[in-house]
Amino acid sequence: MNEQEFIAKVTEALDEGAGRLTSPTVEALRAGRRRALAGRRQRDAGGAHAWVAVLGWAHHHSRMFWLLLLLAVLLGMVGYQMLNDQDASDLDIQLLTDDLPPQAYLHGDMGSWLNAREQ
Amino acid sequence: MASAKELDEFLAAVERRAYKSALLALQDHHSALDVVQNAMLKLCERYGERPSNELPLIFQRILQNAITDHFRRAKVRNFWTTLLSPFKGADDEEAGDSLEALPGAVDTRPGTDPAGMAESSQHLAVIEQALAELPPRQRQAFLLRYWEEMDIAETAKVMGCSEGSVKTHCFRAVNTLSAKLKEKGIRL
Repeated sequence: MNEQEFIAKVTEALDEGAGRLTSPTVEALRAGRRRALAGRRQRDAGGAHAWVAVLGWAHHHSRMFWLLLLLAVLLGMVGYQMLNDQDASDLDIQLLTDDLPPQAYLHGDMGSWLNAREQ
Repeated sequence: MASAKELDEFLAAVERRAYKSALLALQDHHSALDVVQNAMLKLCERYGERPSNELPLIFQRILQNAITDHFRRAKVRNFWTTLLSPFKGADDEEAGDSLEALPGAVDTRPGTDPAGMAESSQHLAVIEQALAELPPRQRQAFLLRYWEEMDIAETAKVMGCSEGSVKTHCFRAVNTLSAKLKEKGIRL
């Protein structure tokens, strides 16, 4: 018997063994599988329930919901504006404090550009 | 993403083999059940959103890690048990479980052909015993590569070793198993 045949016979025996598990063991495995799948369903349902709860609350307190939504949008806009202002001021500071390297003045075009600006 | 139905079908297809693999490694029915159930739970909780074609590799990795973790915990437990053994009563000692004596190992209910069933059960028990006696890495490589039909690269990923090591473990496992079965008078 070659190696492949030997392996096939052993795995066949293993399959047979797996097929002959006692019913309490099979039942325990099935119960474990159900529990695992139920945990997943519960988690998925938990996410959906949260959305349903938010929408339900919004329906019952529509005035408050729109007020909160408006407040959130306003806060978002102010935050965005502040962030942009901060970026712009950082850029200005960098431009103002940046030293031009001396080599730049040695460049011919730089001199002509400065003259043009003075005129 | 694997649907609940795909997950259910996948687990239903692998649970028995997973249990047998865990039983061969741990040699304890309850520990094997615990390990498989925890692996199923972990797969559904953490990896249930992965594509269904990735599930076999992930599940085997979880299962093998769970078996290794179980061994580590048992080692720590044994250390403390040995340390405290002078305080332990003689009646606390438990008889060791042999694979044949395990309640979930083999169904011994009478079949249509009792003589054939008995012989087949005996052969099966000897083969399982020989597999259980293999060094852990050899057994793991053999079961993943040949029983779970993973390729060498996948087996290496699950075992966390190189492909060359997988080949070596498989080669040694086949040789050792063949010698053991010959020794026990089993002709396949």
